[in-house]
Amino acid sequence: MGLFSTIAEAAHAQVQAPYTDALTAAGINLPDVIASLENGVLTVSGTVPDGETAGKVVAALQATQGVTSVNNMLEVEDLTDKHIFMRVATKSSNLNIRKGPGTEHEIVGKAEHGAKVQLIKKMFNGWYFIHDTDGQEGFCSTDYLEEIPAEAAATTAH
Amino acid sequence: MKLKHILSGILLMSAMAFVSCKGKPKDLIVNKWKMTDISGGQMAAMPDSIKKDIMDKATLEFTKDGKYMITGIPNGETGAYTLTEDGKTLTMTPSTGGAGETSELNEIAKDKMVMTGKSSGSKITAVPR
Repeated sequence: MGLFSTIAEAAHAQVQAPYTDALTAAGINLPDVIASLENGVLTVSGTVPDGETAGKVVAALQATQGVTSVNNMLEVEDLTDKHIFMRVATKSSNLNIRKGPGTEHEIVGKAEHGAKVQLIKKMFNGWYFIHDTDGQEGFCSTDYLEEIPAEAAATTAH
Repeated sequence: MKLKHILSGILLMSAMAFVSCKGKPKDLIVNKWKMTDISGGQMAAMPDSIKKDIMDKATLEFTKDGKYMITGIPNGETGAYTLTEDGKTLTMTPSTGGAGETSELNEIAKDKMVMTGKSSGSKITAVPR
């Protein structure tokens, strides 16, 4: 690694220590889970096996010092290599793309009705992190997406 | 005339003494160093308490045989280092393998070393421990 990387890793481990301890105390061993505290909001990211575990992670971290709320950004699966494409199937309006997985997060973009999006990550609550063909990225629910058959996705991929 | 020669000799000897005191970077780096400042780049956001703890505990040692050791912190490391002829570029390659890390050696003296990580953009100042 070298000096700078070693120091960065040591600092990271120290920042994460209270959260790692809280998870260990709750019987959760997920080294990929990372927490970062800013103005009392603890953002938790990383991969968990399922939504239930995500709930336990949040419950364990909520009690750590200085935390007033938790921004849950935990994911359950990276879908990038699966090349899953879906089409925006709203009645006519555009689909909101949000900053986080839930309607409480601000809208950061809109995918047009009929536009094609790729599912990148499946989140703890069934929402997805997506990319659209205009280069927008963010989170949306699959309630307004319909699957594009693999063959059709391949022919429209470019 | 004689006095002129004597003065020139004294000046020359003083200059040689200054150069030998200043030393070559490859010799000056051989020491045990304690960090006194970590700043900029990826480390700019590091909390001060953690920065202080790391600076207090970590020791960076370069030995004459081209080896280095980072000790005092949990994920300490050993490896080999090289310094370019001009003393400006330091490369540290861990013994565990993997890519080395290159830094620009901004300043090196008997009592101070300043380096900037080429990929991290962070700067470290160190003094002999």
